[in-house]
Amino acid sequence: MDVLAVSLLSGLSYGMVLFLLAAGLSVVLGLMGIVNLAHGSFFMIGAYAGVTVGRLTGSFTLAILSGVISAGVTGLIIERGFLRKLYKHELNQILVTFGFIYIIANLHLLFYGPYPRSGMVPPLLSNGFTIGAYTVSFYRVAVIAIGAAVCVGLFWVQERTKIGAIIRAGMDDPETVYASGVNLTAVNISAFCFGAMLAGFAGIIGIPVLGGVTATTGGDIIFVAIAVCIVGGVGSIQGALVGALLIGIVTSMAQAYAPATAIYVMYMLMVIVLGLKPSGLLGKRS
Amino acid sequence: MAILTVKNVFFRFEGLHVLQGISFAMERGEKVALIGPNGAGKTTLLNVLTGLIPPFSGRIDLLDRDITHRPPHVRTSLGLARSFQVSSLFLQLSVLENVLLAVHGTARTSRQMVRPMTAYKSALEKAEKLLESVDLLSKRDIACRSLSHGEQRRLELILALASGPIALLLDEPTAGLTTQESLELAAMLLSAANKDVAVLFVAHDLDLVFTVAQRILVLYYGKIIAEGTPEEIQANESVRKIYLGETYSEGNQRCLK
Amino acid sequence: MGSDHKAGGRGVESSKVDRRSKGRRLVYIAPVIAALLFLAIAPPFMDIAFISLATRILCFGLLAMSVDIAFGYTGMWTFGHAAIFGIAAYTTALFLIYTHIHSFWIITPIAILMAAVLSAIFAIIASRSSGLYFLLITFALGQLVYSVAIQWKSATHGEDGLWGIPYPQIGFPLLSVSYYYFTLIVVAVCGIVLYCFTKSPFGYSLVCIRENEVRARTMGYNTRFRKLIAFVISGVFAGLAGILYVYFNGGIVPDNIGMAASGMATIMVIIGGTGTLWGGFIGSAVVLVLQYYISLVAPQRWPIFLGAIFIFAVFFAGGGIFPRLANLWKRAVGYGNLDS
Repeated sequence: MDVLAVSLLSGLSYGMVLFLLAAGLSVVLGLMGIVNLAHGSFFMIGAYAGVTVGRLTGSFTLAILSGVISAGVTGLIIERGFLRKLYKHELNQILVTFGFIYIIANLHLLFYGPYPRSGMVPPLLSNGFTIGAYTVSFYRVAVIAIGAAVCVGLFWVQERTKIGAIIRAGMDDPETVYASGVNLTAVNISAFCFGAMLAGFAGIIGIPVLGGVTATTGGDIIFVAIAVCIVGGVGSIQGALVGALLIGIVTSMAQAYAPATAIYVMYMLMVIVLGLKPSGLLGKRS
Repeated sequence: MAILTVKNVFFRFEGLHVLQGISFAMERGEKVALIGPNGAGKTTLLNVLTGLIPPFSGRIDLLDRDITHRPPHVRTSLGLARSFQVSSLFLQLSVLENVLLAVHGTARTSRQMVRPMTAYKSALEKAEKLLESVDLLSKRDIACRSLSHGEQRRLELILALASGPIALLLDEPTAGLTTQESLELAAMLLSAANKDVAVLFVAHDLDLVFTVAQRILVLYYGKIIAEGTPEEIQANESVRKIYLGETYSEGNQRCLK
Repeated sequence: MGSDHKAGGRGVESSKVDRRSKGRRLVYIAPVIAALLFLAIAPPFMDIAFISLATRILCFGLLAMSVDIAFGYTGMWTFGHAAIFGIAAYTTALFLIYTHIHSFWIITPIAILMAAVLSAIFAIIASRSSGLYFLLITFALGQLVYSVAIQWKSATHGEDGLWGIPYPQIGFPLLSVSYYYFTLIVVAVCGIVLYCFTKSPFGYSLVCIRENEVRARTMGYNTRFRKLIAFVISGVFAGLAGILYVYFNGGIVPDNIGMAASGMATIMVIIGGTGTLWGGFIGSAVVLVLQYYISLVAPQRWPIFLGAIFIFAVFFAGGGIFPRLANLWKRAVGYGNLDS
């Protein structure tokens, strides 16, 4: 019973980190039809920048800010410098962003070295509460709360604001949106950079949940983000949430009850969902 | 026995009833035209008949076989062929290669993996004969993307004929052609195709329709509202109501008479 | 409407075309023959590094060719092919290390069968998606196989990989130079087989499926079945490439079968020219020669250059090197374009 509760909480916090990571990827994929394989690298950039600044200044807030900004700036460079010229050429986008995975990873390796960096936890949250024989840190609970808050906020933007409506319209029929005089390009770029910043944010608050960050994290975590998109369905906040929480919780359970299978469960989920509903659990049928 | 029988076909798409209770039959050698305003569901009907989209309910029979849920490639091998409104050619390939592929598609040789496609003499002869029937033999080695629109429509036609069908569905075969070119294409079709082939063609050119068709079906927003010989259709009240006010050329005047 | 030519004129024309095509074919493939001659004659006069690089290029060229069948010809965006390459390589290594079965002629068919089965699994799982999503799924599946290679330490020794693989026992001893010739012969035979395949009715139908799947279906082609077969055939040759590689390399590590390798195989096809079959070798040569020289100078920085190669290839490869060379050669020997 204790194991169940702890692994559930653990899975929820992991799932929330995955949600923050994958939400940007999913919406950008559904909105602009852009596949950005370097999305995981935004996560890594945010993590490293945040940790470095955090240790230098001792401020968690500054850490978060620097993580978010550095990820956002990188996103802007990649989108404006390279991806804008590849609109509608998905394969080329994949290849270019794939190249960026390696460039960014190697730069981090050369700059930061091969050893993992562990994350910062603000002193307020460093304690925990006990369930049976296990301790659950307040930090993890905070991550769950933050993730939920961001999710609610994003969902509100998606469903209730004008910009959310523009984004959703842009997914269905971009030509009409342009024709209505809306600057969809600016909205698209903003969505892309916001997704990058969100991934960076996920990175900096996610390191304590994941256990550390290395130069390979960018290349590793993109697969989890892809799995979230495939399982939950692309193009909506709720799809990213369902996919992320499902993968997070199931992985966590597997880690608790059958550790050898933990890495594979996300792929198994992916395969099962593809067999049942190829467009994802909450995805639209194409 | 009818070659193609369609019974009560319904098709819905996201709340819109695109096809409602479509029923008709085509006899051996019959030339039937399907007309109606844009958006009436004509292409959708052809897509359902060829198996690209499944009907919501209803039944489609080819001779005595139920093909309602069979995939497109099976329908083609059973004798149902189709051409497209927008030329669906393999643009990178040459004209001859396109026709050879169409010929091999329903031949036993389609699964061969060793000898070159052009080495199969009977297929090559059949392809050349088809090309000759629409006057494209001289262009056999030219890449399809270099053909003129009229030439592409002719190629589009023989790609459908290549499978030796008993029922032929043509989606606006003369789209983009002048009336003169349309009638020439129709003449080529009638001579190239087997006399027994039942042809259902979608067309907007009413001159062509009234010249070629033995029977006309009028599709109006998913329902067949009229069916009959060209004279009957011309005299039909509801048909005249639909076509009044639309801007065609001479076809409109004919209909009003 | 362009109906100028009469039936009588056709007779004269077609013989002109025939004569031209026979002569054209000879001159056209002259550079290919020259390249083959070079590959056959040069090695004994070159140093071991050259032979080693050449063997490596042949192995990855074969992998690239197999990717081209799935990707260039059939239009299936596969991004996990290195896993298929890898399963054959690992099967071979596992047999050689853990069993007493060392005969090349027994292990190879089994390893190829593993590759075929894995390709079928990949294709079936990804079959209901296309394009972009097909790529993401095969990408993830490739990574799954990579994870197994790393995790299953008892069998695969994890990241260290399996080593100590000798040259294959095919009846007479093979050393590095003779293994190069062995590889060259195997790869040349594969190339010819695949070339004939692409010109066959089945092979041509794959191009149809890529260009216009709807049309292909209404022409009578069972496209779902054909895509599966094409992917499995592609996997068979990828597996063969893996087998050739593991003998050459003396071993196999997970990095050889992960996303970097899959990505490299794809970029080799793109650089060389998709849908050209031989382009894969040109792409393989370009990437591996670059890798060789850059690793001499700055081995730590190779990933940055690899990433840059991807970006460059996207913006500057155009249709690929092979079509461009082919067109240059055609113009040099005086043949105009087919289209005019």
